[in-house]
Amino acid sequence: MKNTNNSAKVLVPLTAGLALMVPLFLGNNYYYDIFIMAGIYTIIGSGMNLLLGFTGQLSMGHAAFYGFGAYITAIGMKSYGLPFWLCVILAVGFCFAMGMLLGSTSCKLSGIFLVVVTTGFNTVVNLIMVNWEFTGRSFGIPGIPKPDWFGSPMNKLQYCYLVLAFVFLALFVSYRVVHSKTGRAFQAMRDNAIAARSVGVNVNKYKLLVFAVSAVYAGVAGALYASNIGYISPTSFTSNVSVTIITMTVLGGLGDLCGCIVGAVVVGVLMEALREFGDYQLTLYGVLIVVILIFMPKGLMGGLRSLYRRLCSLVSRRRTPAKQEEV
Amino acid sequence: MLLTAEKITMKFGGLVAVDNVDFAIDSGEIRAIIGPNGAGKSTFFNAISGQNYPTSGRILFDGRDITKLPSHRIAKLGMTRTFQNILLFDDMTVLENVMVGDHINIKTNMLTEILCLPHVFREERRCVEKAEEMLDFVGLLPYKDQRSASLPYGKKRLLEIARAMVSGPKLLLLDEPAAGMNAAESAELVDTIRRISQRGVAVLIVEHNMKVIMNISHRITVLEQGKVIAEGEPAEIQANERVIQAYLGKEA
Repeated sequence: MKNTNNSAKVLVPLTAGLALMVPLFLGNNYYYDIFIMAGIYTIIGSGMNLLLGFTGQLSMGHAAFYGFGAYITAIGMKSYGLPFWLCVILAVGFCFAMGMLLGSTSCKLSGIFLVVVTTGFNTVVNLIMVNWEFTGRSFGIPGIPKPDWFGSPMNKLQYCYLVLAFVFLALFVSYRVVHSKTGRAFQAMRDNAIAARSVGVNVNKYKLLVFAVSAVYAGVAGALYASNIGYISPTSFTSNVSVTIITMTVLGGLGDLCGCIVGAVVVGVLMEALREFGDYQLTLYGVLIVVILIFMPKGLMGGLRSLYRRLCSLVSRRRTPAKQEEV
Repeated sequence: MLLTAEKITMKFGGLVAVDNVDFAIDSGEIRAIIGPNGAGKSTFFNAISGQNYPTSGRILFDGRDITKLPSHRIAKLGMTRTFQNILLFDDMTVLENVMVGDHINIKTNMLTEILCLPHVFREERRCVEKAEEMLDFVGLLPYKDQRSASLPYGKKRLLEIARAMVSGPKLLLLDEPAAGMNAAESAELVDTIRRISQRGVAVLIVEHNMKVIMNISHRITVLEQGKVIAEGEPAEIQANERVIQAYLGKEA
Protein backbone atom coordinates (compact mmCIF):
# COMPACT_ATOMS: atom_id res chain seq x y z
CA MET A 1 0.00 0.00 0.00
CA LYS A 2 2.60 2.51 1.04
CA ASN A 3 4.66 1.70 -2.00
CA THR A 4 1.87 2.60 -4.40
CA ASN A 5 1.08 5.78 -2.46
CA ASN A 6 4.67 6.92 -2.73
CA SER A 7 4.86 6.12 -6.40
CA ALA A 8 1.60 8.03 -6.94
CA LYS A 9 3.25 11.11 -5.42
CA VAL A 10 5.83 10.97 -8.20
CA LEU A 11 3.71 9.63 -11.04
CA VAL A 12 0.76 12.02 -10.79
CA PRO A 13 2.71 15.27 -11.18
CA LEU A 14 4.90 13.58 -13.79
CA THR A 15 1.94 12.50 -15.92
CA ALA A 16 0.22 15.86 -15.47
CA GLY A 17 3.39 17.66 -16.45
CA LEU A 18 3.82 15.45 -19.48
CA ALA A 19 0.22 16.06 -20.53
CA LEU A 20 0.81 19.81 -20.21
CA MET A 21 3.94 19.62 -22.38
CA VAL A 22 2.57 17.41 -25.15
CA PRO A 23 0.39 20.01 -26.96
CA LEU A 24 3.44 22.24 -27.42
CA PHE A 25 5.10 19.62 -29.63
CA LEU A 26 2.11 18.49 -31.67
CA GLY A 27 2.49 21.13 -34.35
CA ASN A 28 -0.39 20.37 -36.71
CA ASN A 29 -4.17 20.24 -36.55
CA TYR A 30 -4.40 16.48 -37.09
CA TYR A 31 -2.35 15.73 -33.99
CA TYR A 32 -4.14 18.43 -32.02
CA ASP A 33 -7.43 16.73 -32.84
CA ILE A 34 -6.18 13.31 -31.71
CA PHE A 35 -5.01 14.90 -28.45
CA ILE A 36 -8.33 16.66 -27.95
CA MET A 37 -10.32 13.49 -28.69
CA ALA A 38 -8.20 11.51 -26.22
CA GLY A 39 -8.99 14.18 -23.62
CA ILE A 40 -12.70 14.06 -24.40
CA TYR A 41 -12.66 10.25 -24.18
CA THR A 42 -10.88 10.50 -20.83
CA ILE A 43 -13.62 12.73 -19.45
CA ILE A 44 -16.45 10.54 -20.65
CA GLY A 45 -14.51 7.42 -19.62
CA SER A 46 -14.00 8.59 -16.06
CA GLY A 47 -17.74 9.19 -15.81
CA MET A 48 -18.39 5.69 -17.11
CA ASN A 49 -15.82 4.34 -14.68
CA LEU A 50 -17.69 5.85 -11.72
CA LEU A 51 -20.86 4.19 -13.00
CA LEU A 52 -19.58 0.83 -14.21
CA GLY A 53 -16.29 0.42 -12.38
CA PHE A 54 -17.16 1.78 -8.96
CA THR A 55 -20.91 1.26 -8.76
CA GLY A 56 -21.37 -1.74 -11.06
CA GLN A 57 -24.24 -0.20 -13.03
CA LEU A 58 -24.20 -0.58 -16.79
CA SER A 59 -25.47 2.14 -19.09
CA MET A 60 -25.60 1.59 -22.83
CA GLY A 61 -27.06 5.06 -23.22
CA HIS A 62 -24.12 7.32 -22.50
CA ALA A 63 -23.78 8.46 -26.10
CA ALA A 64 -27.17 10.11 -25.60
CA PHE A 65 -25.79 12.32 -22.81
CA TYR A 66 -22.71 12.98 -24.93
CA GLY A 67 -25.18 14.06 -27.62
CA PHE A 68 -27.16 16.28 -25.25
CA GLY A 69 -23.99 18.16 -24.35
CA ALA A 70 -23.00 18.51 -28.00
CA TYR A 71 -26.41 19.66 -29.25
CA ILE A 72 -26.98 22.08 -26.37
CA THR A 73 -23.62 23.67 -27.11
CA ALA A 74 -24.15 23.69 -30.86
CA ILE A 75 -27.63 25.22 -30.72
CA GLY A 76 -26.80 27.51 -27.83
CA MET A 77 -23.67 28.98 -29.40
CA LYS A 78 -24.85 29.08 -33.01
CA SER A 79 -28.54 29.94 -32.82
CA TYR A 80 -28.65 31.93 -29.58
CA GLY A 81 -25.13 33.30 -29.47
CA LEU A 82 -24.57 32.12 -25.91
CA PRO A 83 -21.00 31.98 -24.60
CA PHE A 84 -19.36 28.54 -24.38
CA TRP A 85 -19.18 28.40 -20.58
CA LEU A 86 -22.92 29.08 -20.30
CA CYS A 87 -23.61 26.22 -22.72
CA VAL A 88 -21.47 23.93 -20.58
CA ILE A 89 -23.46 24.90 -17.50
CA LEU A 90 -26.72 24.26 -19.35
CA ALA A 91 -25.40 20.89 -20.54
CA VAL A 92 -24.38 19.98 -16.99
CA GLY A 93 -27.82 20.84 -15.63
CA PHE A 94 -29.72 19.07 -18.39
CA CYS A 95 -27.57 15.93 -18.29
CA PHE A 96 -27.83 15.77 -14.49
CA ALA A 97 -31.62 15.75 -14.74
CA MET A 98 -31.75 13.28 -17.63
CA GLY A 99 -29.18 11.06 -15.88
CA MET A 100 -31.42 10.92 -12.82
CA LEU A 101 -34.33 10.00 -15.07
CA LEU A 102 -32.43 7.14 -16.70
CA GLY A 103 -30.98 6.17 -13.33
CA SER A 104 -34.44 5.80 -11.86
CA THR A 105 -34.94 2.74 -14.08
CA SER A 106 -31.91 1.10 -12.47
CA CYS A 107 -33.69 1.09 -9.10
CA LYS A 108 -36.08 -1.51 -10.48
CA LEU A 109 -33.99 -3.19 -13.17
CA SER A 110 -30.56 -4.75 -13.34
CA GLY A 111 -28.38 -6.80 -15.63
CA ILE A 112 -29.68 -7.50 -19.10
CA PHE A 113 -32.92 -5.58 -18.48
CA LEU A 114 -31.01 -2.42 -17.67
CA VAL A 115 -28.99 -2.91 -20.86
CA VAL A 116 -32.19 -3.09 -22.90
CA VAL A 117 -33.70 0.01 -21.31
CA THR A 118 -30.57 2.14 -21.63
CA THR A 119 -30.03 1.03 -25.23
CA GLY A 120 -33.63 1.96 -25.92
CA PHE A 121 -33.07 5.37 -24.34
CA ASN A 122 -30.07 5.94 -26.59
CA THR A 123 -32.03 4.90 -29.68
CA VAL A 124 -34.99 7.17 -28.86
CA VAL A 125 -32.72 10.16 -28.27
CA ASN A 126 -30.89 9.41 -31.50
CA LEU A 127 -34.14 9.17 -33.46
CA ILE A 128 -35.25 12.51 -32.07
CA MET A 129 -31.97 14.05 -33.25
CA VAL A 130 -32.51 12.58 -36.72
CA ASN A 131 -36.11 13.74 -37.09
CA TRP A 132 -36.40 17.05 -35.26
CA GLU A 133 -36.12 20.28 -37.25
CA PHE A 134 -34.64 22.02 -34.19
CA THR A 135 -31.65 19.64 -34.08
CA GLY A 136 -31.00 19.91 -37.83
CA ARG A 137 -32.38 16.46 -38.65
CA SER A 138 -29.97 13.93 -40.11
CA PHE A 139 -27.78 16.70 -41.60
CA GLY A 140 -26.83 17.83 -38.13
CA ILE A 141 -25.54 21.27 -37.26
CA PRO A 142 -22.57 22.80 -39.11
CA GLY A 143 -20.58 25.91 -38.29
CA ILE A 144 -20.39 25.67 -34.50
CA PRO A 145 -18.07 28.43 -33.28
CA LYS A 146 -15.04 28.02 -31.00
CA PRO A 147 -15.14 29.53 -27.51
CA ASP A 148 -13.88 33.08 -27.18
CA TRP A 149 -10.48 33.72 -25.66
CA PHE A 150 -10.20 37.42 -24.81
CA GLY A 151 -12.28 38.52 -27.78
CA SER A 152 -10.95 36.16 -30.46
CA PRO A 153 -11.91 32.52 -31.07
CA MET A 154 -9.58 29.96 -29.50
CA ASN A 155 -6.96 28.31 -31.68
CA LYS A 156 -6.30 24.56 -31.53
CA LEU A 157 -3.42 24.86 -29.08
CA GLN A 158 -5.50 26.91 -26.66
CA TYR A 159 -8.34 24.43 -27.09
CA CYS A 160 -5.99 21.59 -26.14
CA TYR A 161 -5.39 23.32 -22.82
CA LEU A 162 -9.10 23.98 -22.34
CA VAL A 163 -9.78 20.26 -22.76
CA LEU A 164 -6.87 19.43 -20.50
CA ALA A 165 -8.29 21.70 -17.80
CA PHE A 166 -11.57 19.81 -17.97
CA VAL A 167 -9.70 16.48 -17.88
CA PHE A 168 -7.91 17.52 -14.69
CA LEU A 169 -11.19 18.71 -13.21
CA ALA A 170 -12.94 15.44 -14.12
CA LEU A 171 -10.16 13.30 -12.63
CA PHE A 172 -10.03 15.46 -9.51
CA VAL A 173 -13.78 15.15 -8.99
CA SER A 174 -13.59 11.36 -9.48
CA TYR A 175 -10.68 11.16 -7.05
CA ARG A 176 -12.50 13.13 -4.39
CA VAL A 177 -15.72 11.17 -4.78
CA VAL A 178 -14.00 7.80 -4.70
CA HIS A 179 -11.99 8.66 -1.60
CA SER A 180 -14.91 9.73 0.54
CA LYS A 181 -18.21 8.59 1.93
CA THR A 182 -20.04 8.77 -1.41
CA GLY A 183 -17.45 6.66 -3.22
CA ARG A 184 -17.39 4.08 -0.46
CA ALA A 185 -21.17 3.85 -0.69
CA PHE A 186 -20.84 3.35 -4.47
CA GLN A 187 -18.36 0.51 -4.05
CA ALA A 188 -20.35 -1.02 -1.22
CA MET A 189 -23.49 -1.26 -3.34
CA ARG A 190 -21.47 -2.66 -6.22
CA ASP A 191 -20.12 -5.44 -3.99
CA ASN A 192 -23.33 -6.17 -2.11
CA ALA A 193 -26.48 -4.06 -2.20
CA ILE A 194 -28.25 -5.89 0.64
CA ALA A 195 -25.30 -5.45 2.99
CA ALA A 196 -24.97 -1.79 1.94
CA ARG A 197 -28.62 -1.18 2.84
CA SER A 198 -28.16 -2.93 6.18
CA VAL A 199 -25.61 -0.32 7.29
CA GLY A 200 -27.80 2.59 6.21
CA VAL A 201 -26.76 3.26 2.62
CA ASN A 202 -29.77 4.50 0.66
CA VAL A 203 -28.97 2.44 -2.42
CA ASN A 204 -31.62 3.94 -4.69
CA LYS A 205 -30.52 7.50 -3.91
CA TYR A 206 -26.91 6.68 -4.75
CA LYS A 207 -27.95 4.94 -7.97
CA LEU A 208 -29.70 8.10 -9.13
CA LEU A 209 -26.71 10.17 -8.06
CA VAL A 210 -24.12 8.09 -9.89
CA PHE A 211 -26.16 8.01 -13.09
CA ALA A 212 -26.62 11.77 -12.92
CA VAL A 213 -22.95 12.46 -12.26
CA SER A 214 -21.65 10.18 -14.98
CA ALA A 215 -24.18 11.75 -17.38
CA VAL A 216 -22.71 15.14 -16.50
CA TYR A 217 -19.22 13.89 -17.45
CA ALA A 218 -20.60 12.76 -20.81
CA GLY A 219 -22.41 16.06 -21.30
CA VAL A 220 -19.28 18.11 -20.68
CA ALA A 221 -17.38 15.86 -23.08
CA GLY A 222 -20.08 16.43 -25.68
CA ALA A 223 -19.88 20.21 -25.29
CA LEU A 224 -16.10 20.09 -25.82
CA TYR A 225 -16.54 17.80 -28.82
CA ALA A 226 -19.10 20.00 -30.58
CA SER A 227 -17.12 23.18 -30.26
CA ASN A 228 -13.88 21.52 -31.36
CA ILE A 229 -15.15 19.71 -34.41
CA GLY A 230 -17.47 22.52 -35.49
CA TYR A 231 -19.99 20.15 -37.04
CA ILE A 232 -22.16 17.53 -35.37
CA SER A 233 -24.61 14.99 -36.73
CA PRO A 234 -26.68 12.22 -35.11
CA THR A 235 -24.28 9.48 -36.29
CA SER A 236 -21.76 10.56 -33.63
CA PHE A 237 -24.21 9.71 -30.86
CA THR A 238 -25.59 6.26 -31.74
CA SER A 239 -25.53 3.32 -29.34
CA ASN A 240 -22.39 2.12 -31.17
CA VAL A 241 -20.65 5.08 -29.58
CA SER A 242 -21.98 3.97 -26.19
CA VAL A 243 -20.32 0.61 -26.80
CA THR A 244 -17.03 2.35 -27.61
CA ILE A 245 -17.28 4.29 -24.36
CA ILE A 246 -17.75 1.08 -22.38
CA THR A 247 -14.99 -0.72 -24.31
CA MET A 248 -12.56 2.07 -23.54
CA THR A 249 -13.40 2.01 -19.83
CA VAL A 250 -13.12 -1.76 -19.54
CA LEU A 251 -9.91 -1.77 -21.59
CA GLY A 252 -8.33 0.84 -19.34
CA GLY A 253 -9.32 -0.94 -16.15
CA LEU A 254 -12.58 -0.85 -14.22
CA GLY A 255 -12.49 0.73 -10.80
CA ASP A 256 -9.09 2.27 -11.47
CA LEU A 257 -9.00 6.06 -11.59
CA CYS A 258 -6.10 6.14 -14.06
CA GLY A 259 -7.63 3.39 -16.17
CA CYS A 260 -9.82 5.73 -18.19
CA ILE A 261 -6.79 7.83 -19.23
CA VAL A 262 -4.98 4.77 -20.55
CA GLY A 263 -8.16 3.45 -22.15
CA ALA A 264 -8.95 6.77 -23.81
CA VAL A 265 -5.46 7.31 -25.14
CA VAL A 266 -5.14 3.75 -26.42
CA VAL A 267 -8.56 3.72 -28.10
CA GLY A 268 -8.10 7.23 -29.50
CA VAL A 269 -4.66 6.50 -30.89
CA LEU A 270 -5.48 2.94 -31.92
CA MET A 271 -8.42 4.03 -34.04
CA GLU A 272 -6.19 6.49 -35.87
CA ALA A 273 -3.20 4.15 -36.14
CA LEU A 274 -5.33 1.38 -37.61
CA ARG A 275 -6.87 3.75 -40.16
CA GLU A 276 -4.31 2.78 -42.81
CA PHE A 277 -5.61 -0.78 -42.71
CA GLY A 278 -8.85 0.54 -44.19
CA ASP A 279 -11.58 -2.04 -44.12
CA TYR A 280 -9.69 -4.19 -41.64
CA GLN A 281 -9.55 -1.35 -39.10
CA LEU A 282 -12.54 -2.48 -37.00
CA THR A 283 -11.57 -6.15 -37.18
CA LEU A 284 -8.04 -5.49 -35.97
CA TYR A 285 -9.41 -3.19 -33.29
CA GLY A 286 -11.73 -5.93 -32.06
CA VAL A 287 -9.01 -8.59 -32.08
CA LEU A 288 -6.61 -6.36 -30.15
CA ILE A 289 -9.19 -5.67 -27.47
CA VAL A 290 -10.00 -9.36 -27.05
CA VAL A 291 -6.30 -10.22 -26.79
CA ILE A 292 -5.58 -7.47 -24.27
CA LEU A 293 -8.51 -8.47 -22.07
CA ILE A 294 -7.56 -12.16 -22.15
CA PHE A 295 -4.08 -11.41 -20.88
CA MET A 296 -5.03 -8.48 -18.64
CA PRO A 297 -8.51 -9.12 -17.23
CA LYS A 298 -8.21 -6.04 -15.02
CA GLY A 299 -7.53 -3.87 -18.05
CA LEU A 300 -4.35 -2.20 -19.19
CA MET A 301 -3.94 -0.31 -15.93
CA GLY A 302 -4.39 -3.50 -13.94
CA GLY A 303 -1.72 -5.11 -16.13
CA LEU A 304 0.64 -2.19 -15.63
CA ARG A 305 0.13 -2.28 -11.87
CA SER A 306 0.86 -5.99 -11.55
CA LEU A 307 3.93 -5.52 -13.77
CA TYR A 308 5.08 -2.71 -11.46
CA ARG A 309 4.50 -4.87 -8.38
CA ARG A 310 6.49 -7.70 -9.94
CA LEU A 311 9.36 -5.32 -10.69
CA CYS A 312 9.25 -4.00 -7.12
CA SER A 313 9.40 -7.47 -5.58
CA LEU A 314 12.24 -8.38 -7.96
CA VAL A 315 14.22 -5.34 -6.87
CA SER A 316 13.56 -5.91 -3.16
CA ARG A 317 14.50 -9.59 -3.48
CA ARG A 318 17.85 -8.56 -4.86
CA ARG A 319 18.29 -6.01 -2.11
CA THR A 320 17.44 -8.12 0.93
CA PRO A 321 20.33 -10.61 0.72
CA ALA A 322 22.72 -7.68 0.37
CA LYS A 323 21.35 -6.14 3.56
CA GLN A 324 21.72 -9.39 5.43
CA GLU A 325 25.37 -9.49 4.49
CA GLU A 326 25.87 -6.05 5.97
CA VAL A 327 24.41 -7.25 9.27
CA MET B 1 -38.74 -2.20 25.83
CA LEU B 2 -36.25 -1.49 23.08
CA LEU B 3 -37.94 -3.63 20.44
CA THR B 4 -41.50 -4.86 20.47
CA ALA B 5 -42.98 -7.06 17.77
CA GLU B 6 -46.73 -7.50 17.97
CA LYS B 7 -48.56 -10.36 16.25
CA ILE B 8 -46.04 -10.72 13.42
CA THR B 9 -47.21 -12.99 10.62
CA MET B 10 -45.27 -13.68 7.45
CA LYS B 11 -46.80 -15.62 4.61
CA PHE B 12 -45.15 -16.69 1.39
CA GLY B 13 -48.07 -17.76 -0.76
CA GLY B 14 -49.78 -20.49 1.23
CA LEU B 15 -46.81 -21.07 3.53
CA VAL B 16 -47.02 -19.39 6.92
CA ALA B 17 -43.36 -18.99 7.91
CA VAL B 18 -43.97 -16.85 10.99
CA ASP B 19 -47.31 -17.19 12.72
CA ASN B 20 -48.64 -14.51 15.04
CA VAL B 21 -45.41 -14.04 17.01
CA ASP B 22 -45.25 -11.61 19.94
CA PHE B 23 -41.75 -10.71 20.94
CA ALA B 24 -39.97 -8.08 23.00
CA ILE B 25 -36.38 -7.34 23.91
CA ASP B 26 -35.01 -4.98 26.55
CA SER B 27 -32.04 -2.69 26.06
CA GLY B 28 -28.76 -4.27 27.13
CA GLU B 29 -30.17 -7.79 26.91
CA ILE B 30 -28.61 -10.73 25.07
CA ARG B 31 -31.49 -12.67 23.57
CA ALA B 32 -31.32 -15.84 21.53
CA ILE B 33 -33.84 -17.27 19.13
CA ILE B 34 -33.52 -20.99 18.59
CA GLY B 35 -35.57 -23.65 16.89
CA PRO B 36 -35.31 -26.53 14.46
CA ASN B 37 -34.55 -25.89 10.78
CA GLY B 38 -37.40 -24.14 9.00
CA ALA B 39 -38.87 -22.79 12.24
CA GLY B 40 -38.95 -19.27 10.79
CA LYS B 41 -36.04 -17.78 12.72
CA SER B 42 -34.31 -16.09 9.80
CA THR B 43 -37.62 -14.99 8.30
CA PHE B 44 -38.54 -13.35 11.58
CA PHE B 45 -35.11 -11.70 11.63
CA ASN B 46 -35.57 -10.33 8.14
CA ALA B 47 -38.95 -8.94 9.09
CA ILE B 48 -37.53 -7.05 12.05
CA SER B 49 -34.59 -5.57 10.16
CA GLY B 50 -36.59 -4.52 7.09
CA GLN B 51 -35.23 -6.98 4.51
CA ASN B 52 -38.80 -8.26 4.15
CA TYR B 53 -42.02 -6.68 5.37
CA PRO B 54 -44.36 -8.72 7.59
CA THR B 55 -47.72 -9.70 6.11
CA SER B 56 -49.40 -8.41 9.24
CA GLY B 57 -48.40 -7.18 12.68
CA ARG B 58 -46.53 -4.21 14.02
CA ILE B 59 -42.90 -3.62 15.01
CA LEU B 60 -41.86 -0.86 17.39
CA PHE B 61 -38.21 0.05 17.85
CA ASP B 62 -37.16 2.62 20.42
CA GLY B 63 -40.73 3.93 20.50
CA ARG B 64 -41.11 4.26 16.72
CA ASP B 65 -43.18 2.19 14.34
CA ILE B 66 -40.70 0.63 11.89
CA THR B 67 -43.00 -1.98 10.36
CA LYS B 68 -42.86 -0.56 6.84
CA LEU B 69 -39.43 1.12 6.96
CA PRO B 70 -36.76 -0.01 4.46
CA SER B 71 -33.62 -1.48 6.02
CA HIS B 72 -31.42 1.59 5.45
CA ARG B 73 -33.83 3.72 7.49
CA ILE B 74 -33.90 1.11 10.25
CA ALA B 75 -30.09 1.12 10.35
CA LYS B 76 -30.22 4.88 10.83
CA LEU B 77 -32.45 4.43 13.88
CA GLY B 78 -29.81 2.17 15.49
CA MET B 79 -30.48 -1.42 14.49
CA THR B 80 -27.83 -3.22 12.43
CA ARG B 81 -27.26 -6.84 11.56
CA THR B 82 -25.02 -9.54 10.18
CA PHE B 83 -26.03 -12.21 7.71
CA GLN B 84 -26.18 -15.98 7.82
CA ASN B 85 -24.26 -16.23 4.53
CA ILE B 86 -21.65 -13.52 5.30
CA LEU B 87 -22.19 -10.50 3.06
CA LEU B 88 -19.04 -8.40 2.90
CA PHE B 89 -17.85 -5.85 0.37
CA ASP B 90 -15.36 -8.24 -1.21
CA ASP B 91 -13.32 -5.83 -3.33
CA MET B 92 -12.83 -3.33 -0.54
CA THR B 93 -10.22 -3.52 2.20
CA VAL B 94 -11.05 -4.64 5.72
CA LEU B 95 -10.79 -1.05 6.95
CA GLU B 96 -13.01 0.28 4.16
CA ASN B 97 -15.64 -2.34 4.97
CA VAL B 98 -15.87 -1.02 8.50
CA MET B 99 -15.81 2.59 7.27
CA VAL B 100 -18.89 1.90 5.13
CA GLY B 101 -20.50 0.70 8.36
CA ASP B 102 -20.18 4.22 9.74
CA HIS B 103 -21.97 5.68 6.70
CA ILE B 104 -24.89 7.10 8.66
CA ASN B 105 -22.68 9.13 10.99
CA ILE B 106 -20.60 10.94 8.37
CA LYS B 107 -21.99 14.38 7.77
CA THR B 108 -20.74 15.08 4.26
CA ASN B 109 -22.29 14.87 0.83
CA MET B 110 -20.92 14.63 -2.67
CA LEU B 111 -20.80 18.40 -3.17
CA THR B 112 -18.89 19.16 0.03
CA GLU B 113 -16.54 16.26 -0.72
CA ILE B 114 -15.71 17.63 -4.17
CA LEU B 115 -15.27 21.15 -2.80
CA CYS B 116 -12.88 19.80 -0.12
CA LEU B 117 -14.54 21.73 2.71
CA PRO B 118 -12.48 21.42 5.89
CA HIS B 119 -15.10 19.42 7.82
CA VAL B 120 -14.92 16.69 5.13
CA PHE B 121 -11.35 15.81 6.09
CA ARG B 122 -12.20 16.03 9.79
CA GLU B 123 -15.10 13.62 9.34
CA GLU B 124 -12.89 11.30 7.27
CA ARG B 125 -10.18 11.20 9.94
CA ARG B 126 -12.74 10.59 12.66
CA CYS B 127 -14.25 7.78 10.58
CA VAL B 128 -10.86 6.09 10.10
CA GLU B 129 -10.11 6.36 13.83
CA LYS B 130 -13.48 4.89 14.76
CA ALA B 131 -13.10 2.06 12.24
CA GLU B 132 -9.61 1.24 13.51
CA GLU B 133 -10.82 1.28 17.09
CA MET B 134 -13.60 -1.15 16.13
CA LEU B 135 -11.19 -3.42 14.24
CA ASP B 136 -9.01 -3.47 17.34
CA PHE B 137 -12.10 -4.38 19.39
CA VAL B 138 -12.71 -7.54 17.33
CA GLY B 139 -8.97 -8.20 16.89
CA LEU B 140 -8.71 -7.54 13.15
CA LEU B 141 -6.55 -4.42 13.20
CA PRO B 142 -3.49 -6.24 11.76
CA TYR B 143 -5.54 -7.15 8.68
CA LYS B 144 -6.91 -3.67 7.95
CA ASP B 145 -5.26 -3.18 4.54
CA GLN B 146 -6.12 -6.64 3.20
CA ARG B 147 -8.92 -7.25 0.76
CA SER B 148 -11.83 -8.49 2.84
CA ALA B 149 -12.37 -11.46 0.49
CA SER B 150 -8.92 -12.78 1.44
CA LEU B 151 -9.77 -13.17 5.15
CA PRO B 152 -10.32 -16.66 6.58
CA TYR B 153 -13.90 -17.61 7.34
CA GLY B 154 -13.98 -16.93 11.07
CA LYS B 155 -12.39 -13.52 10.64
CA LYS B 156 -14.98 -12.62 8.01
CA ARG B 157 -17.67 -13.18 10.62
CA LEU B 158 -15.87 -10.87 13.03
CA LEU B 159 -15.45 -8.25 10.30
CA GLU B 160 -19.19 -8.34 9.64
CA ILE B 161 -19.78 -7.73 13.33
CA ALA B 162 -17.30 -4.84 13.35
CA ARG B 163 -19.05 -3.30 10.35
CA ALA B 164 -22.40 -3.55 12.09
CA MET B 165 -21.04 -2.21 15.39
CA VAL B 166 -19.06 0.81 14.24
CA SER B 167 -22.06 3.11 13.86
CA GLY B 168 -22.92 2.59 17.54
CA PRO B 169 -26.26 0.76 17.25
CA LYS B 170 -28.68 0.18 20.12
CA LEU B 171 -29.55 -3.29 18.87
CA LEU B 172 -27.33 -5.74 17.02
CA LEU B 173 -28.84 -8.70 15.20
CA LEU B 174 -26.56 -11.69 14.62
CA ASP B 175 -27.81 -14.33 12.20
CA GLU B 176 -26.02 -17.63 12.99
CA PRO B 177 -22.66 -16.03 13.81
CA ALA B 178 -21.08 -19.32 14.94
CA ALA B 179 -22.07 -21.31 11.86
CA GLY B 180 -19.08 -23.18 10.49
CA MET B 181 -16.75 -22.02 13.26
CA ASN B 182 -14.39 -24.35 15.11
CA ALA B 183 -14.26 -24.46 18.92
CA ALA B 184 -11.53 -21.82 19.26
CA GLU B 185 -13.27 -19.46 16.88
CA SER B 186 -16.62 -19.79 18.60
CA ALA B 187 -15.01 -19.19 21.99
CA GLU B 188 -13.57 -15.98 20.58
CA LEU B 189 -17.01 -15.09 19.27
CA VAL B 190 -18.65 -15.63 22.66
CA ASP B 191 -16.08 -13.34 24.20
CA THR B 192 -16.71 -10.68 21.54
CA ILE B 193 -20.49 -10.82 22.05
CA ARG B 194 -20.03 -10.45 25.82
CA ARG B 195 -17.88 -7.37 25.31
CA ILE B 196 -20.46 -5.93 22.90
CA SER B 197 -23.10 -6.39 25.56
CA GLN B 198 -20.88 -4.64 28.10
CA ARG B 199 -20.97 -1.59 25.84
CA GLY B 200 -24.71 -1.42 26.48
CA VAL B 201 -25.76 -2.79 23.12
CA ALA B 202 -28.67 -5.21 23.06
CA VAL B 203 -27.89 -8.35 21.07
CA LEU B 204 -30.42 -10.56 19.34
CA ILE B 205 -28.90 -13.78 18.09
CA VAL B 206 -30.16 -16.67 15.98
CA GLU B 207 -27.94 -19.70 16.44
CA HIS B 208 -27.80 -23.47 16.25
CA ASN B 209 -24.69 -23.89 18.37
CA MET B 210 -26.22 -24.68 21.78
CA LYS B 211 -22.94 -24.30 23.62
CA VAL B 212 -22.69 -20.70 22.45
CA ILE B 213 -26.36 -20.00 23.14
CA MET B 214 -26.51 -21.43 26.66
CA ASN B 215 -23.25 -19.69 27.46
CA ILE B 216 -24.18 -16.12 26.64
CA SER B 217 -27.89 -15.50 26.39
CA HIS B 218 -29.86 -13.92 29.19
CA ARG B 219 -33.13 -15.19 27.75
CA ILE B 220 -34.04 -17.61 24.98
CA THR B 221 -37.08 -17.68 22.70
CA VAL B 222 -37.87 -20.99 21.00
CA LEU B 223 -39.66 -21.05 17.66
CA GLU B 224 -41.21 -24.09 16.05
CA GLN B 225 -43.12 -23.98 12.76
CA GLY B 226 -43.46 -20.23 13.00
CA LYS B 227 -44.85 -20.18 16.55
CA VAL B 228 -43.26 -19.32 19.89
CA ILE B 229 -43.32 -22.48 21.96
CA ALA B 230 -41.23 -21.35 24.91
CA GLU B 231 -39.41 -18.35 26.34
CA GLY B 232 -37.20 -18.13 29.39
CA GLU B 233 -33.72 -18.32 30.88
CA PRO B 234 -31.29 -20.94 29.52
CA ALA B 235 -31.82 -23.34 32.45
CA GLU B 236 -35.59 -23.19 32.06
CA ILE B 237 -35.39 -23.81 28.34
CA GLN B 238 -33.06 -26.77 28.79
CA ALA B 239 -35.62 -28.37 31.13
CA ASN B 240 -38.68 -27.50 29.03
CA GLU B 241 -40.59 -30.58 27.87
CA ARG B 242 -42.04 -28.87 24.82
CA VAL B 243 -38.61 -27.74 23.61
CA ILE B 244 -37.06 -31.16 24.04
CA GLN B 245 -39.93 -32.59 22.05
CA ALA B 246 -39.43 -30.10 19.27
CA TYR B 247 -35.76 -31.00 18.95
CA LEU B 248 -35.73 -34.71 19.70
CA GLY B 249 -39.29 -35.81 18.96
CA LYS B 250 -41.79 -37.41 21.32
CA GLU B 251 -40.86 -40.45 23.35
CA ALA B 252 -42.78 -43.50 22.21
